[in-house]
Amino acid sequence: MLIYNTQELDNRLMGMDADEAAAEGMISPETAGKIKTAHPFTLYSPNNFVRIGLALVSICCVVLGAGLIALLMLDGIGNNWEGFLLFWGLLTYGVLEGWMAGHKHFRSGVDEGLLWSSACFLAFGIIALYENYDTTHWVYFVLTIIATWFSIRLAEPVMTLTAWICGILFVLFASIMYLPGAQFILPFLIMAISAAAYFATTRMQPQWRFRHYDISLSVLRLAALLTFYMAGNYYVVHSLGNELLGMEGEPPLPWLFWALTLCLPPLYIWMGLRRKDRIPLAAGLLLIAAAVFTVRAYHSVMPIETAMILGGIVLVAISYAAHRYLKTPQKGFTTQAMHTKHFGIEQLEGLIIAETMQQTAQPQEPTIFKGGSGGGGGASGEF
Amino acid sequence: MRSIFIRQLSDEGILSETERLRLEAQSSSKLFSLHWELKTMLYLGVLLLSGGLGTLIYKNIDTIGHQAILAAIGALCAGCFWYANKHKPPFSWQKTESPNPWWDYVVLLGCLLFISFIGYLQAQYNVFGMRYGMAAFIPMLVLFICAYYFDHIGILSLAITAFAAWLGISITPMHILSDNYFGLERRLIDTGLLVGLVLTAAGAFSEYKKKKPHFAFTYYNFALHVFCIAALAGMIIEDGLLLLYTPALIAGLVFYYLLGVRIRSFYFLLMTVLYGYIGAGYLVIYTLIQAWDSLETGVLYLSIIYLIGSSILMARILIRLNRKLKAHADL
Repeated sequence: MLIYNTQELDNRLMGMDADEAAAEGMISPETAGKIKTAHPFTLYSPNNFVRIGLALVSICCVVLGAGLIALLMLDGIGNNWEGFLLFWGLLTYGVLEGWMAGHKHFRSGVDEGLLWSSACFLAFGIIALYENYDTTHWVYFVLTIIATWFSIRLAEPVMTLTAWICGILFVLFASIMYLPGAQFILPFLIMAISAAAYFATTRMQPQWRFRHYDISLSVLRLAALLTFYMAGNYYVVHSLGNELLGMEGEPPLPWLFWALTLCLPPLYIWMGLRRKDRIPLAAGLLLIAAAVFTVRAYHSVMPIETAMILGGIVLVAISYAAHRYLKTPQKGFTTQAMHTKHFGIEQLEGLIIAETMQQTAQPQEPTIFKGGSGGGGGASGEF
Repeated sequence: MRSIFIRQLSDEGILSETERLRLEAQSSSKLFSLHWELKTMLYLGVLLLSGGLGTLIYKNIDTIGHQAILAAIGALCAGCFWYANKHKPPFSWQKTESPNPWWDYVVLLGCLLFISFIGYLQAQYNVFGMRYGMAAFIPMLVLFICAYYFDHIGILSLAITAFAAWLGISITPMHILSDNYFGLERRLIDTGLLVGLVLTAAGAFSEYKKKKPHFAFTYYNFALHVFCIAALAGMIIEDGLLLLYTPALIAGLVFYYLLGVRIRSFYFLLMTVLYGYIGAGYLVIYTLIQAWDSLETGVLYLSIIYLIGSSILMARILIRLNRKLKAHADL
């Protein structure tokens, strides 16, 4: 089903596995070299910077091409914009298929650029076509189908995520339209769908025939876990119930939703640690923050700075304890990075620190720098 | 390695028998690394802690408790530096390996707390008086010293930002465009160019004098962006000074292009090409708009055709550059 030559993709996976095994000292570098000569990966797959550049260029070409044609045929298009958008999206998709059949590209930026511009043109066309509110769910239905098709053809993780989100929104709006008693069933319906999707994708992921969809499946599993949590989160159920379903006051079975809000994140973390599975672990860690915010939205337990300090102490303490405990690997866990530290990642970490912690790093706004805003110290804003 | 690959490769005779056995044994007993999870938790913890303590001081500034808070922050800060110093690898002008990620963040927390401390002293006791420059200068100095002493790229990045803030501009990725009102004052544009030049000089110094040569990339990276953005802002905002800022941009681009070729960094090549593309595009469209009277809507068509043509040209340039540096296709 993939648009790419799967034999080549197998060679790519094999080369990656060989590099990893060589880095871990499992095979000699010569063997890794021999593996790669025997199974060469020849598709054009440049580094990420070229990839971004090529993606921008392809998007520019598609968008500006559309602009040029639209300018030339301004009178002809007149009030048939939807048709033009859909036509252009399909044309771009045709170019994508043709390009991939003729050129040997893989994640080169051209395929992704064409994919996303085609998808956006189609999506805008469809949204313009169904202007009526009552048909929202049909819009999502069509978008789900398009995004699913694109994900199957290109195994693009972000497109897979889009497909999942559109699918969930379709279920949401369709059940509001057609399902009697939707306000009581909806959270459980979405939870059931998410759980089914999670278990299905977890079972699919290790299978050989889905090997090229590995990242997409990981994304889908993470999304399913997060959706499952959101469907059970008290705040989400409460505010969506009020806004979309016209319910008033607190949702039925409040204790159940509070229990889900507070218990699911630790449960996910436990699942992740037990099965040595990064996806539930990451979901659990993310959702701890969500649980904290949910509690804070309803109960003002303590002032924000006290909460920040306590949270900081807890996080630092846990990581210190884990660091001490895992100094030598325990029960198959380690804190050592699996691969050698990357120069680029180190630089990126530096940038993130400068970006996010710079607020605390500057004392106060010196009046002498009238025009500048460099001194906008976060702390001084609290006066 | 996937078991199907192991089987296939040993059938083909590429894997030796020992390697096959080793790989098969490994796939059943692989360690699970919590490195990034713990690192992210540490990062968030330090972020929350320094932010929370900073806020706490200011909220309690006129209450009795504030001196206790101040003492606590001072003690914590001293503790961080004591720990960091104790476990520090011996100082060297070359890159030193940090003992572990935990240590990196202890150093960072110490620095951040120290800066909160200074900021508080200035706010409460006005220790630097009206010399506001000093209040920005001291933290910057401390950050630079810590960055070199502890060999910490995160603190170096903070120090570079503090340096730019001391001169009055903000240069972190998310703020460089939104926080600097280049249009209001030409002085800011020139400050940007100056910061770019100084940071480039600092990078060159680290690189050639071999004083922490791995810091050079960080200096160059900030320098390239702040210089090019300031020059572009000058070209676009200060119409009359096109002849001043265009050569500045070209000079900067040529320098960084050659640098990228020399240190075999594709990142620098890409960035110079992108900034050059923006500059050239501005000049072309600016010229076309000047000719609006004679060409009228033709300007629109010509602009779009220029953009399409130049995008395709860009793609070709990128592909060629990539081929040129294939061996080091990273940063």
